[in-house]
Amino acid sequence: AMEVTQLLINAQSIDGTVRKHAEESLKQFQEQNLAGFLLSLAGELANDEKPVDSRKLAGLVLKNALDAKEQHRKYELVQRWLALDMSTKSQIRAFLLKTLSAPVPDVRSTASQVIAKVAGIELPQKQWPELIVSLLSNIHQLPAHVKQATLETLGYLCEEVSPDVVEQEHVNKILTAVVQGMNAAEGNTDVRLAATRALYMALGFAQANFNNDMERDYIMRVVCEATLSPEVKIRQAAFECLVSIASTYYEKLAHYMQDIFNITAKAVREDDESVALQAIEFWSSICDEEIDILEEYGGEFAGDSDVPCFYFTKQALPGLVPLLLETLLKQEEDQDLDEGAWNIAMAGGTCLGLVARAVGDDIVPHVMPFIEEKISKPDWREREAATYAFGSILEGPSADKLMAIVNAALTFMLNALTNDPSNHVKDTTAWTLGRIFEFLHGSTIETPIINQANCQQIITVLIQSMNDAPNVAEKACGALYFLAQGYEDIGPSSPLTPFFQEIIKSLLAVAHREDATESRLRTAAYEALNEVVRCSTDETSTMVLQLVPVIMMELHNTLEGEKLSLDEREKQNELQGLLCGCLQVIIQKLGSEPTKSKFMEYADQMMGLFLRVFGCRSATAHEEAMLAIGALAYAAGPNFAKYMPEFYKYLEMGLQNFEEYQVCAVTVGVVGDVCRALEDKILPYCDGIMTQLLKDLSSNQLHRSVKPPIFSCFGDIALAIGEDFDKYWRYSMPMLQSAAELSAHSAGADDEMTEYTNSLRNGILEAYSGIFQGFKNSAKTQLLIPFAPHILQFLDSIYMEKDMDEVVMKTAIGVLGDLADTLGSHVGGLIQQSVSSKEFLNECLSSEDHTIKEAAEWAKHAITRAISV
Amino acid sequence: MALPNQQTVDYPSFKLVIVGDGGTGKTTFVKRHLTGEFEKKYEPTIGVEVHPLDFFTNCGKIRFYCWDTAGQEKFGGLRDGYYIHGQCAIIMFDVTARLTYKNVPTWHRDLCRVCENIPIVLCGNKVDVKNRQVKAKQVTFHRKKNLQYYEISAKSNYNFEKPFLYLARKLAGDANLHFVESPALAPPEVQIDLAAQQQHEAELAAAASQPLPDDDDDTFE
Repeated sequence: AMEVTQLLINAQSIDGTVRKHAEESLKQFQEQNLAGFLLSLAGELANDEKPVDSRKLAGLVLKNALDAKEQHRKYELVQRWLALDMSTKSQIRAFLLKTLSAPVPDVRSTASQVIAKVAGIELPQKQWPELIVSLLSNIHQLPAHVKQATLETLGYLCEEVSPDVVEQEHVNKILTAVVQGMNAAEGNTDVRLAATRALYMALGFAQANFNNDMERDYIMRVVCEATLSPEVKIRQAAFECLVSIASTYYEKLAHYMQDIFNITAKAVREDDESVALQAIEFWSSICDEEIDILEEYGGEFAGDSDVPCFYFTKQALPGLVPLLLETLLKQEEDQDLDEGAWNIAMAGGTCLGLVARAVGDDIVPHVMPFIEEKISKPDWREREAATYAFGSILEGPSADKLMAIVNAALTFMLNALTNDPSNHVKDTTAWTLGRIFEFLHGSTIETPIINQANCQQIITVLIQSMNDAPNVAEKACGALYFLAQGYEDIGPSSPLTPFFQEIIKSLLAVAHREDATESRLRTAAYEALNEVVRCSTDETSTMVLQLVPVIMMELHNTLEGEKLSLDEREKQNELQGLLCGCLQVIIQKLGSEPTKSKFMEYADQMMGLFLRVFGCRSATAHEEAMLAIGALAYAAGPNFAKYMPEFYKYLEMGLQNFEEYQVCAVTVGVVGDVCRALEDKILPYCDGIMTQLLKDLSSNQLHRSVKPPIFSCFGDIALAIGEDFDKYWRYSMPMLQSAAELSAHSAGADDEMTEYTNSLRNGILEAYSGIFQGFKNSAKTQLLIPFAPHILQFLDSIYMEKDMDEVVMKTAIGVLGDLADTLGSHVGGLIQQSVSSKEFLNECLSSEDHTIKEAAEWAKHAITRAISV
Repeated sequence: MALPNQQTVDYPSFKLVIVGDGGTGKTTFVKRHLTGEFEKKYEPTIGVEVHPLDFFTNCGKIRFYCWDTAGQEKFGGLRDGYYIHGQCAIIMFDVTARLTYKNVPTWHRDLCRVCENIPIVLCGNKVDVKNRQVKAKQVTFHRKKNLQYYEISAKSNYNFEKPFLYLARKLAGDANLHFVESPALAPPEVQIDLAAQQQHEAELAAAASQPLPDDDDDTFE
């Protein structure tokens, strides 16, 4: 076989030229002589004389020649391997098995991975029958490093191969080998570690064994013992097994929970952080499972769940909560300045939050004594831990349970936010206040925690905190955000009204802070400002109106800056995005009467600013300006026509932006807004828009996620221009038909594909709906008749597939109604023949979703009229 | 430590492997440091591109050789073959595309099988500002694997240095290490870009005043 050593070494060079040349040569070798190439790689891997680096890469390249993530590539590679001559394959297999005894650990490990890939292909074909026997015989061999490599191989094999293609006797023997390797009796640490990691990979494979009480007892005992190993890596690997078991075999755990509690508690209290984090994660995983199960209990299909809730968390509360509370005291210095900090205190707080969600009210008495004891201690760690504990349990327990405590704590919190000397405590306090307002404030809460007596103080404190360190100020903005949101449906008069001006002023001041770009402070300030405006009432509309020129001036200023450094320019663009976003909220707030006419006085200027933002090269700002224009169009209605000559070119530019496809997507949405605003006045621009939309649809450069909304946009255009849409008919209809066919063939693939198929179908159906409605009562209705059979077929085919998406269902039943309504008796016979008009209609009529039901009733009515004539 | 065939620098250097699904912004992220320019155009990486990135710390200069690997398998080249001798890694996903998060465990697994025990950072990139699909609460993978998680935005530079700082601290074994100055950025080419923008606008204006092309597939009579 050819010498590949130097090529494999060169392929790892940081010098791109050397590397690419080597890769190219490898590729050529592979293309010219696949069998020879694979054999060379296996030979390289097995050769102890060769450098480790070339051997490792040889193994990985060989492995990658056997497997791919993409299904069709994988299939091709499998077929290619199966087609190789037997002699090559046996030589490769022999090289691989030999490598398991190589002295270099990395090389053995690589060989293990390759063996598993070959097994993944060959065992289902009943090829390489001696593999498992040969591996199992290795287990009883000395030296230990062979045993270690073999256990690693068995782990990968269990992950790669379905237990169905392995005889049960072999499955059992593999498991036995792995579990024995984990046993404390195994003297070699590397072997024991390899076995523990192998078990982690074999958990799915071992389903039959987990279903057998005796075998499961044995496996669990060995795993629990391994958590007590003197070797930290083994302890961590054993806890990783427990974490995985917590989600895979939740329903089988009842018998072991007491022991597991004891070992996790010991690990959390005494072990290395890497082990302690896994021990906490075990409980977080249990909570995740129980939260899911209980959500299903509460959902529509009550009692339908396969797995019952065993309430492990609830039973563990008396021991678990104190354990988690202890971890909260182990904060790192300065972790408040690092929002991504992940350590035992953060893990403990996260778990406590999950426990609260899993058990609800029951957690409260277990946490309160800790909070009460620590909240005023001199050590900042104790105060912070108490506050963090309080904040963590606010989601889960009922408002009734928490209300009294929160009321009692509120004044304390406000005081701490003002006066605590520790930045970390203030940070956590502001976060906790935000959580209070998020979960316990709003129209659904019976007794409000914010009242006339404390409202003033709350706002004063939050506003003061906006002058604090950026991380604290950012969280104060977040708290204000939820405070405002809670008054979303307050009615004509809001308690925030007396403070409105002051709040706005303060938020603008925060946004202007020199350090506002730290800790996302500026973004948080504008998010809060937007929410305050969005949730404001008519009482303050004059003040919102006064805000318009202020924000416009800010936006104007960002457009004047010249000769900025790159960094400054970037921040400028970000600010432009935020300001356009703010104006969008204001437009939505003021764009209807009684404020509309006053507000519209600014429209010309505002539009001018937005158009100038398009001149700055920033995708983010561009998107935001586009969205704001969409809102302005909605508010302006037909009057928006005067901006069209100027705006049109940017609209077209946006539709042509394949590269920043988000800009394209947003622009497609704005075309819809403009259609609704202008109605038939959009007609002069439709040739250009439709040309561009059709180009977008046929582009393979444009991200596919933009295509469904383009179909919906056809519907918007048809609805706006009515029968004039007929000239686009012969272009758009084939597109719709072929997309419909595509969506019929691509169903049933992975989740991502299903999601896309649904959005595509929805887009197509919205197009049909808009077209039918647009053509209603027109003389040109006749033109649509030839397409009716296809559309009905499309509806039928969607219905025949089970598990129809609800959104698609609603649009589909709407299209059936529109078709009957617009085409009437011309298609009465056709409709009667379709499945949709019977089973599908009936299913929708009995839907629990009232919007589907309403649409179905209307469709039924339209159909009855169509067939009765 | 010296990598094979490495042109060494006289300060510490580390091989950093960047992995994740295609289109999650790996190249944009690395190039951010090189030029400070946000790369908008998506061109899939073929195989791997290696970029040397220097950072200035209180303990002196360090270099990350960033191996920016192809996310798309069809352009994958040697795939996990590029991970050999990786000393630290970044796994990237896009918080606006759920599937890219679902694939994180696979990237992590492949990485750990080639480079045991290296510090790894999980980065949730905000590729699209709107339309967030993976909520912070749903990002739990780092919990399971004791990884550091950062949310970043290659568009706005948000948290750009955080992953590098974390990895530098781990590699140096010094939790107090910090960056002392911003990385040097290549001189901006603002003038040229503005000129290009103006030209683009002029072309557009000219195109707008033209009658529609008379090409049968795209026009309407």
